[in-house]
Amino acid sequence: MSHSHQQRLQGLTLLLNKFAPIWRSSAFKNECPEWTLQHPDLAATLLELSDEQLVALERSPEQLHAFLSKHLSDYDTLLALIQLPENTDKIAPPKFSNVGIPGRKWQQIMAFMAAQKQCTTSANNTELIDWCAGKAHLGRTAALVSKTPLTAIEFNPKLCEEGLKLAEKSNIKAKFICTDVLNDKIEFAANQEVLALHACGDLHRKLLSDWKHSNSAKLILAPCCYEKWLTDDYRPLSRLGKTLNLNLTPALVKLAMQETVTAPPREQTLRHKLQTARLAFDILQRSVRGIDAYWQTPSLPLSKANLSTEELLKLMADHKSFSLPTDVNFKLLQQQATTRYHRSRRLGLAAQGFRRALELWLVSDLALYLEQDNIQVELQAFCDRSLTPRNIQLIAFRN
Amino acid sequence: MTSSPLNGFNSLRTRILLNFLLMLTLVVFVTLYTVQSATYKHSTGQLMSYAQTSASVVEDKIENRSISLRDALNTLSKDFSFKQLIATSENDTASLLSALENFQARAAADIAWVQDKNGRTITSSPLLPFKDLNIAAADFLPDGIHWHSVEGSVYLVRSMPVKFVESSRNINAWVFMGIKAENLFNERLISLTDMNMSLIFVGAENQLIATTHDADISESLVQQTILVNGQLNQFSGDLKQWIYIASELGRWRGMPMELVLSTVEDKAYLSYNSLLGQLIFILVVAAVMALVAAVLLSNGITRPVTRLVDVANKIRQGKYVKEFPKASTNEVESLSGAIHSMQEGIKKREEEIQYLAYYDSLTHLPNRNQFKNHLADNIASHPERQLAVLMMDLDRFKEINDTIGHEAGDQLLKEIANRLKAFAHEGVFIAHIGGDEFAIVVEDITGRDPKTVAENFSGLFDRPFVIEQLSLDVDISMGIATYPQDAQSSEGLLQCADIALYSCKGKHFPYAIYQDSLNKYSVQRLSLMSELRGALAEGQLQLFYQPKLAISERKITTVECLIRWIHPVHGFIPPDEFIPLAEQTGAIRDVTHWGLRIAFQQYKEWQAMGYDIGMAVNISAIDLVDMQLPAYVAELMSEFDVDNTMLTLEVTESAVMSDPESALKALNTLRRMGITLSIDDFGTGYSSMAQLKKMPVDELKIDKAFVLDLAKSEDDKIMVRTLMSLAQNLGLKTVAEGVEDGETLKFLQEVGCTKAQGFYMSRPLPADKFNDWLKDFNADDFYQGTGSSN
Repeated sequence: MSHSHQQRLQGLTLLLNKFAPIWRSSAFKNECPEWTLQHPDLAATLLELSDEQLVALERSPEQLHAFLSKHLSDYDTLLALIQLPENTDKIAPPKFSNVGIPGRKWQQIMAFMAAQKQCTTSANNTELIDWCAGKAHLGRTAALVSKTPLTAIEFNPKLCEEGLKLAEKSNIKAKFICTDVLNDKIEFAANQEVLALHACGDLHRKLLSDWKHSNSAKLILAPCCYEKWLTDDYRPLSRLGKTLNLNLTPALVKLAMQETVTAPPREQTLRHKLQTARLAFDILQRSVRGIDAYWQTPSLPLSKANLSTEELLKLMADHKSFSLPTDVNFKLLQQQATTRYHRSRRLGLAAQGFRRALELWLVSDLALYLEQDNIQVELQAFCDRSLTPRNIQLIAFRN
Repeated sequence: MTSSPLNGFNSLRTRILLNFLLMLTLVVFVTLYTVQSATYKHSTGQLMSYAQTSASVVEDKIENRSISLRDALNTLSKDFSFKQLIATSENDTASLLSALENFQARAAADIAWVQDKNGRTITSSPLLPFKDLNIAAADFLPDGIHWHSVEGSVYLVRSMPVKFVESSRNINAWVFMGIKAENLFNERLISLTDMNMSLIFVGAENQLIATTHDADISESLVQQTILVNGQLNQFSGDLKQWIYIASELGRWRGMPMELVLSTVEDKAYLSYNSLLGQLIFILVVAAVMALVAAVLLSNGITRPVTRLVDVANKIRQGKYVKEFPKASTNEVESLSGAIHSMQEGIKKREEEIQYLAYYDSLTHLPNRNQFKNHLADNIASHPERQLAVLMMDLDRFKEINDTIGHEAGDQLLKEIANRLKAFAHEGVFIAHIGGDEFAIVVEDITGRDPKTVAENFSGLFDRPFVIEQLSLDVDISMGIATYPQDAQSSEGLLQCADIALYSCKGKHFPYAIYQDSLNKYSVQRLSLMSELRGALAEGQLQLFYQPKLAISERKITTVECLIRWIHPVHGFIPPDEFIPLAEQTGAIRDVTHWGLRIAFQQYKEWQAMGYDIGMAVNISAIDLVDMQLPAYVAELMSEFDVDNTMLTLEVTESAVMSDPESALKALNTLRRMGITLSIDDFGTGYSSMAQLKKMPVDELKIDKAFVLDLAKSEDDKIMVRTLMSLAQNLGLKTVAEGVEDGETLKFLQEVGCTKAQGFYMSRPLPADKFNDWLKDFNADDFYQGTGSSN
C-alpha cells in the first residue's frame, strides 16, 4: 500500500514520537537508557543476543525490523510506512560508457537511470542538468542514453574540468557551470530536467528550493547526508513538517544516516576498538570526576586505531584537559569497557531500528515541501539497500 | 275457556314479540360481538402498530445516539493530536485523558476509554478501577445498538479504531464511548411514545437494565416471563393491568437485549372502551325503538285477530254475528271471511244435526230423543192429563232382513212409518226410536181403555205390507204404559212400556198392558244377583230331595237333590230364577260345591239310617267347563268315604252342547271316576244324535213337557215312546220327570222307562220330611192295575 506523503509523515511522526525514548536515547552514552524500563522484555532479549545474532541484526535491517516488531507494539505500523515502491527496471547502457566510473557508483547510476528513463519526458528540446555533478558521471551517462544536451553544476573547478573532458570523450553536448549552489540562485528553464544523485544536506535542500521556484518540468533527486550544514536542530521545509516537527538534533539526523553496511570487516573491528576505548574513558571520567554523566568526546578517527587503549585514553584525556589518575587498572577498565560496549551495541540495536523511519520522515518532509505547491512528487527506492543505503529517489513533475 | 288464547306464551302477539326480541337480541349480540371483536382486534392492531412504531422510534432514537457516538468517535479517532497523545501515552497519559474528557463532554457520553490493540486499557473517563475490559472492540464498531456493562452499569457503547496511518490496515488502538442505558430512557422518550419503557435482559432471570417505570411496577415486570413474540402481552402491577410488547434492542454479551414498551391497559383501550359504550348505547336505543315498532306491528296484526276471536267465541256460544269486524290486512280479511263462511257452515250443519238429533233419517219420524222430549214436555205442560206410551217392535225383523235384504227391510220400515203416520192425528205422536222399534204417545186418553188404543195400532198390521211386489205379513209386539198410573216421568213410562213389550214377546199376542208384577220381577232379578253369595253363607239355601222311583224294581233308589232358596223377604225363590243368575255371576261354582257337600252329608246320614239311596245333583254348564269339579268330587268322596256309584250328576242337554269338547273331557273324567252321568231335560234341546252317541252318559231324563200330559196326549205318547226306544237303542237308562198320575207311570212302565220322578210319588221335600215319606213309602200305592202283577 502506498501512502500519501502527508499520511506517511503523520504516521511516522506519531510512531517516532511513540518510540522516541528508544531512538532519542543513546545506549552508548547511557548505560541504562530509560526505555529499557518501559520495554524490559526487549531489553532483556537484546542483551542476550550472541555476537553472531548481533552482527546479523546489525547487518540486515530486514532482520532487525522483524526482530523489533516482535517486541514493540505498533512497530509493524511503522514498518508499513517505510515501505517504498522499488524500481526494478534496467537499462542497457551504451558500450564503454562506464569507463572511469567506480563499479559501485556505476551500478548506482544504472539504477538511478533506470528510474530516470522511466520518467523522461519526450520533449525534443529537453536538456539535462546534473546537480553537484562532480565529474558528471550520471549526467554524462544520462545524456548518452537520452541523447540530450547536458549542463553540469559543480562547485569544484577541478572536477568540472575533468568532467568536461570525460564528456567530450563521450561525444556529448555538455557544459559545466562551476558555482557555489548554496550562495547563488540557480534558474532552471522549463525544458531542463534536473538530476541529483546523493546531494548532501543543504545542497539538496537548496536544489529543492531553487527548483520549486523555477519552471523545470522534472526533478530526480536522491538525497544524502541530511545532517550536512546543520548547525542546529533540523528545520523542516514543508508546512506539515514544521507542524509535526520532531526537533531532530544534527546528531539524531546523523543517526538516520549511520549505516554499517558499507564498512568492511577490518574497519568495523577497528571501530569497535575505538568505541570500547571511548567507553573506557567514560567509565574512568565518571568515577574520577564523580559526575555520573556522559562527557562528550570527539570521535576517534580510524587512523588512531593502531594506538593502545592507554594511549587512546591519554589522547582523550588531553583533549578534555583531564589528568588521568595514575593508579588506573587498565586491564579491569578494559574489561568493564568491553562489557559496556557489549551492552551498548545490543541496546543500541533498538535505536537502529528507527533509522530508516527517520530518513523517510526527512524525505517525506522534502516531498511535502514540493507537493504543498501542487507539484507531483513520487518517492521510490531506485536500488537495493545493499548497493547504497541512500536508495530513496524523489521524482517531481510539473505538468 | 276462561283464559284468553291471546294471552300467555302461545299468543300470536307474544310469539311475534318473542321472535322479534329473539332476533333483536341476536342482532344486537351478533353486532356487539362482531363490532366488539372487530374493534378490539382493530384496537389491538392499532395499539400493536403504535407499540411497534414506538419501539422503532425508541430504537431509532437510541440508534441515533449510537450513530452520534460513532460520529464523535470517528472525529476523535481521526484527530491527529489525539493519535499523537495515544502514541505517546506511555509517557504521558494525563494529556490523553484530558483530551478524551474533552471529546467525551462534547459527545455527551457517560463513559469513554482508550485501549490499545491488545485490549489493554490506556486510559478511561471517568477513571474507573477497571483495567482490561476483555472487550472485543470490533463488536462495537458496526452500526447498531451494542450494550456493554462496565462496573455494574450497562452502557450503549460504540468503538472506533485508531489508526496511526489512516490508509494502513493496522489498528493501533481503540477508542470507546458509552452512554449509560438509564440516561437513554428519559422523560423525553416517554413523552415521545406515551409509553413506559424498560430495557431488560431476558434470561433465566430477567435483568432490568433501565426503566421509566416506578420501582414496584418495574419489579413486577421483571418477575414476569417476558414473551418476546411480537404480540401484546399482559402483566399486572400496582393493581393495574398492563400490556407490553417486547422487541429486540441491540445485543449484550452476544445475546439480544429486549426493549419492553408498556402502558396501562385501560389507557390503551380507552378509545376502544368509549367506542364500545357508544355502540352499546346506540344498540340499546335501536333495540327499544325496534321493540316499540314490534309492539305496534304485532298489535296491528293481533288486534283484528282478537276481534275475530271475539266473534269466534260468540259463534261458539251460539250467538251468530251479522257484522264482521273490518280487517286491514289481506290475511286477516280472508280469515274473517273464512270465519264468516264457517259460521254459515256451522249454522247449516247445526240445522242438519238438529234434524238428525231429533228425526230418524230413514223414516223421517222423530227419533228417541225427540220422543223423550215430546213426552217430557207433554207431561210438564199437562200434568193432569192421562196419556199412553206405546212401544212397538217387529217380530222376527232380523229374519225378514236376512230373507229379503236390508234395503227391503229399510223399505219395510218406511212403509210401516208411513202407515203409522197416516194414523197420526192430533194428540198422537209417533217416533222411530231405533232399529225396528217405534214409540207412540197418545195424549189425553182420559176415559179410554189403553187396550182399545193398543188394538187400534195393532190393527194397522193386519194387512200385509207389499215390498218389492212381495207381500209380507208382519207381526208386532207392543207394550203399553199409561200416565200417571204406571209412572210419572217420561223415563219411567218408557221403561214400563218396554217391560210390557218384552213381557208380550213370544206370547203370540200383539200387545201387553204394563202391570206392576212385570216390573217387580225385573227388580228382584237385580237384587238377587247381589244377595246370592250372602245367601250361601247365611244358610238361606237348602237341599230338597225328590225321589226317583225305579219302576221295575218298585223301590226308591235315587233322589234328585234340588236347591231351594228361602229368602227372608221374598220367601221361596225357584231355582229357574236364581240358577241362571248364579251362572251369570260365576257363583254357580260355589252353589254346586255346596250342593255336592250337603248331598254327601245327607247320603251318609241315610246310610247310617240304613237306606242306600243314590244322590243326583245338578251341575251347570259352567261346572262342566271348569275342571275343578272332578277334583272336588274326588275330595268329597275321600272325605266322606263313600262309593262313587252313589253319585249321579245331572247336566242339561244345552249345557253339554254349549261347549261339547270341554264338556266331553269333564264328563269322561267323571265317568272314569265311576260317577253316573245323566242328561237332564232331554228332548228340549237340539242334541245331535251323533253327539249324544259320543257322550259317556248313563241315563237320559225325559223333560216333563213330554210327560205332564202323557196320559191324555197321544202325541206325547208317541214322542216318549220314540225317546225310550232311542235311549234303549243307545243302551241308556231313562228317567221321566213330571210324573203326576198313575196312568203316566203305567205307560212308562209299559214303554220300559227305568225311573219315574214327579209329584205322583212326591214333591221335593226337605230331608226330615223326606225321611218321614220314605218311612211310609209303599211302592204298591203307586202302581195301577197290572202294577203289582209285575
